[in-house]
Amino acid sequence: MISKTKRALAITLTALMAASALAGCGSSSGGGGTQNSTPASTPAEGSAASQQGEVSVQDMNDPGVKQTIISAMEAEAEEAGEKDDDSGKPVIKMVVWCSGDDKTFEKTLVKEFEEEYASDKYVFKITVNGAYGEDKAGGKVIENPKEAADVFNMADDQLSQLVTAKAIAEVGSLFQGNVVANNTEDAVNVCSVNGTPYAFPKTSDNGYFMYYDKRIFKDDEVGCLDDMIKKAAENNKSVYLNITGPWYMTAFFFTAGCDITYDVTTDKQVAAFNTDAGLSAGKAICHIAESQGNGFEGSPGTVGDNAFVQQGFKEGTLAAAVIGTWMGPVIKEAIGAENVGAAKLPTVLMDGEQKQLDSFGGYKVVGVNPYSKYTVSAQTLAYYLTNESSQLKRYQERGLIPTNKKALEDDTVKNDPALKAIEAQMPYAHPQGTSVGGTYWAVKPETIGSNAYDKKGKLTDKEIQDILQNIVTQLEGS
Amino acid sequence: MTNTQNAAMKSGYAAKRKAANIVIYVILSVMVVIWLFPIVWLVMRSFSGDNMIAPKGFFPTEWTFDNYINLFAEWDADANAWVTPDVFPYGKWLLNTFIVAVCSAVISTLIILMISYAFSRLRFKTRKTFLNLGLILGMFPGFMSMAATYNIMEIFGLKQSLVGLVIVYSAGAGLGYQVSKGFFDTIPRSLDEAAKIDGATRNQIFWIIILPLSKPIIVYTALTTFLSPWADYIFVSYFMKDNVDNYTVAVGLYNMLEPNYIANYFTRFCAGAVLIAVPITILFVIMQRFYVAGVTGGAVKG
Repeated sequence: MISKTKRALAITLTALMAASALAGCGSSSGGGGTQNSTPASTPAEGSAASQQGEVSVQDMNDPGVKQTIISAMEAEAEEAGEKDDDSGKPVIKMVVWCSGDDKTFEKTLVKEFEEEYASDKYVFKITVNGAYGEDKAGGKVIENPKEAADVFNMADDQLSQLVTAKAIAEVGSLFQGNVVANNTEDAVNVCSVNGTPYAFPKTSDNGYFMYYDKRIFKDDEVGCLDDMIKKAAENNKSVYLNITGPWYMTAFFFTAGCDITYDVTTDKQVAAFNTDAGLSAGKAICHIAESQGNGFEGSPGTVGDNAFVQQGFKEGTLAAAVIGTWMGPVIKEAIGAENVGAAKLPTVLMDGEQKQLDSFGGYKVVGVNPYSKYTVSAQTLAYYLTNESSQLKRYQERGLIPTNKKALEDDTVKNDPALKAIEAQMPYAHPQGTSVGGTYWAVKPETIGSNAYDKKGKLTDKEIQDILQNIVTQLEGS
Repeated sequence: MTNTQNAAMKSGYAAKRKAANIVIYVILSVMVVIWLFPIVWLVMRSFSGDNMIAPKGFFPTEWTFDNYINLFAEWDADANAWVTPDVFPYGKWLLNTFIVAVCSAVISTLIILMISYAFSRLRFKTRKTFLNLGLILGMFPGFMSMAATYNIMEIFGLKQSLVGLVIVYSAGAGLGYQVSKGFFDTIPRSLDEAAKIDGATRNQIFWIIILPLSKPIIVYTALTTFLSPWADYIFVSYFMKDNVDNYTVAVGLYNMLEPNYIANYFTRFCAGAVLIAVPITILFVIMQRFYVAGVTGGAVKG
């Protein structure tokens, strides 16, 4: 194993050196970045974005750079020693994990990649596998990295665990400059641990905001949840916010200012629910739950959020829902694209005043398996899947919001209502990776929400405090 | 007793019996409705074009066969042709399950019957020990050793393969000897002895004398071993990992219910579930005839 890793390292370094040497003469249009050829030694502290100057930004379309990469890929294909049955050429055999609904689309990108980096010295055999989507990929890689995909899509909150388990490769030095320079600062920071970029940012929409039916709400009527519930009830419809789901319910505790942090290195989870702020959040949840069935829906029942929202808009029982971009196409199909509005989350009544509801915000990112036999190819593929043109295509085909700065400025993307909603919610969005870890979900913090839902908000302060104390006690015990 | 008294008594019995029957039938009918409701509901959903999980009405608002067709082929508008579904290749899963079920049913049935026969007829030193050992081992759930089994299969180069799955399902079969051993115990040993006098070997006695008398237990064993791969989720999902093409229907169908997919695939899931029920039901109906015939036939001879 050691020799293999060494070999891969040697190849990567060779590629890097060759690329740096070429950078001087080849890439004249080098994307505006500096042409410093210092290799990316493990950086010290500080945000990844601040290191922009230290790593060279390559123009990936430059024939010289591309040839360097292809040569490195040829070398590692030869090294891996697998031969194609028909042509006898070395094979570059890789697996990509993505979500099943993205499979068809990701396949087209992989095909483009194969054409872009074609060589007569190797044959590509890249399989796109839809078994493990962004929600599961990280866990499955940690389970057995040697058997996992070479390139995998995942949610950003799994990154820190992967880094701790040494189950994800650093972004190759050849690409670091580009990844850091071309994506939004927030996205790059999320993809980095202790200043080192480990993943390629792909989409910026792994969070939630509000979709609403424009026939019910005017654009200036979606600011306050209580008003919305009232208006929805008048129209015999409901506003949906899943207070029984931990991912959505946590928003109230963020809003109240509870300390919710997770430290991956020590695996320490803090969720200060047993405080005055926690009580305020609990009471705010109860206040909304009082409208349950009367303009408000707080639980998807057994069918899950996505199916509940789809059905609600189709049957006309929902007028607004707190959910994410993945439901955009479905809602558009249900009520017609022209009737779909998107906005940041509304304000909720807390401690007698209206407060903007916070949220979880997140990114979907692409990681490379450190045990891959084809390090350079895997890195290049991961980069290709997340570059400007791929992100733009992903937006057009799948409706997923880019992280690439240039792709975000594209006219088709810029005016997307969902993007505007995400941007408006951004200041109130908390990154998942540093807020909560596995233990948080395991202690079922949503018991406060489900209790409020079951009792239609009729909980005394004492009852709320007991439930919250119980959650904290469990957290401390685990 | 006079004739009239007799007749009166008879009609009294008849009335009583009628009343009892009415009560019983009413109770049974209610139970049938309760019992069949989910199944009928599932069938209704599978014919529904609205793709909803729990709509207001019981009957679909639009009827369609698409859910069934889409299990096997999807219309690709770009290529203007029918293509095999990419994400959920149900047809392939159905075939996989069928192959695994048939193979493991044949192998397991043979193993179980042979072992039971040996335990029933032969007397050897460690017989009691093995009987107990088998009983105790059988108490541990099979998926307990999942990870170990996976690694062993990896050594043999059989991980994530259908052959590996058949081997795993059949390998543990020997532990299920209890029922068939009990059955063999009821077949008189004098049959064995008579055959032995005629010069038959143990092997011949098993195949020629005992097996033809054991139809019910053969059918029972084959049915149970055939059914288990259709319902097993835990082991297959661990064993096949990301090898979607080698999934069985249980794992594949369950994946359709994941939060990412359920909104779009629920009615298709229902169609898939109905389709699995069809071959199993047919098999049961056919096999049950043999099963009953075997039992009554055996009783007359015994």
